[in-house]
Amino acid sequence: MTEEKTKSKNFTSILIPTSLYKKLEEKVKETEFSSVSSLVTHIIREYLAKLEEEKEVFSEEEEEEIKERLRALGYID
Amino acid sequence: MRVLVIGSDGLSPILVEKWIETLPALRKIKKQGIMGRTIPPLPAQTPVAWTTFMTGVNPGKHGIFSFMTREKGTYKRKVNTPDKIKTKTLWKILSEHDKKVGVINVPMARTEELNGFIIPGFLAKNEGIPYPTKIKEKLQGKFGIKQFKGDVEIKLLERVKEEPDKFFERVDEITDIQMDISLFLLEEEEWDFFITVFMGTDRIQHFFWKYVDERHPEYEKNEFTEKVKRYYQKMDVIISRFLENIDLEETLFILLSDHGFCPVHSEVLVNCLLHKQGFLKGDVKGEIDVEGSVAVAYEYGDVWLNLKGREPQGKIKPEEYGEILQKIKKNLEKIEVDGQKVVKYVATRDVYWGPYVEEAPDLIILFNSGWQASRGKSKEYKTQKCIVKSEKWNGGHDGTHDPRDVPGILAILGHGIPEGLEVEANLYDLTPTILKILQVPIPNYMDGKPIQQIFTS
Ligand SMILES: [Zn+2]
Repeated sequence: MTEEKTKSKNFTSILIPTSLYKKLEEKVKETEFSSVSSLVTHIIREYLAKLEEEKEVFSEEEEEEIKERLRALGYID
Repeated sequence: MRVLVIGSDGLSPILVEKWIETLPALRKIKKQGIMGRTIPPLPAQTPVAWTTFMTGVNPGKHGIFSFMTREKGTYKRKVNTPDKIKTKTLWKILSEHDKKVGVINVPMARTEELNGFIIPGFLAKNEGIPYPTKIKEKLQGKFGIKQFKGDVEIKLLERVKEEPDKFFERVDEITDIQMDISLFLLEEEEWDFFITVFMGTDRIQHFFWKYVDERHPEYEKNEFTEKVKRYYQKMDVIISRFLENIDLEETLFILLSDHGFCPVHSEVLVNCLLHKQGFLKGDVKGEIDVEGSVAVAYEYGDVWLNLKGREPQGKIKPEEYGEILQKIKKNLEKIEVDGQKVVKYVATRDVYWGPYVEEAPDLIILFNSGWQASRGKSKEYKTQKCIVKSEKWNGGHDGTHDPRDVPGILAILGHGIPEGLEVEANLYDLTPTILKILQVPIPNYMDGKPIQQIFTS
């Protein structure tokens, strides 16, 4: 498989306002990222990770539930 | 290079050694690769140990010191669930370096955005729910399940004594399902790093350790000895199935456990001791007066002092802190039963380093093998006898015990791995080791070092 084909299979394009793109183009110079694309990929990954992390925080009620389970297991008193 | 890790919670190197003649896959690894031990963190508890494994740092840096700890600035006890881990997981780091990962049923591993998939394990909020959805759908299509929880249900755990056969049967069943799911995803998905952790060994040994360890004063060889042995043979078959499904020329195989086991025959009511020694007092209701006491202990021999400026109703002045700490430590270390020392030593926070050290208990009691802090009776302080027979469990590791008394197993097989070598590594050495194998830079903050013996040839 050629480089090109691999690329087209693993990447896709999204549309963002040109003004925003210009801003990012400036910003990218101050970062370790080599292009706007890799900076945007990073931002999106961070965003998705944050969403997942928020889902993982326990509510008071859920914390009580897990305490119940640990009690039943004999792990806590 | 790729890395496949099979975890077995609490798998004991002592039992593997003892039964090696009946464990062909492990015998092969011992002969052709590395067979050694992992040293768990302090305390050698499942959540602390797996977190240490997956982050490559000591608890002072990842922030998980026990199942439960005190919420800073309060007397409230909080469960240390995976969302409270302060450092990145091995699979997160690998994902950021474009490595493909697969993570199944690792205790304390939670849903996170990865370059691959995860089925969160013990203590995660979404335990057993595959992420991303694509994997959930695949498992549903193949096995008809939306969720896989790799642990025995509470109902069965509560009735192990009454119905041991049902318990063993269910452990077998869950183990088989996990093996099928894991082998399926191993084949189906792309991966550079793959891990699946089986829980059966831990659950079985807490209840049946006295039938397999001659050091236990109530050691008895009977049908349960055979049942535990049969489960080890089952794990051996699982190991061989995984070995059949990988190419050892390009995949490194690692088997590890987070800790082993030691005998438990007696339980220590630590608050009863603290009460007799004058550090703890009761309230009008006859319960422990946490706010009015100098020190209080919890289920794992973790002792918390009541310090002015730190706890809301602090009793000890900061200048007295060190002296009281030493006094409690000395008193506990003196305790003997029939001439045998109960406590090996009492550790202070000095055993940890990193930004979260102050979230650790003030003292951690390390019991000699045979004793552990009482769980069921941790709140009793007025009883005559502070040391009682252990009723529920006869094997332990987390009560708290010296990590060196309850080492886990570490077995490695693959291309270029030295033959017949014995290795000892800290659990936090595994993440740096795996990063190095996969040629991903090891972050500076990590405490572990790559296991050198792997990289000799
Ligand atoms: Zn464990």
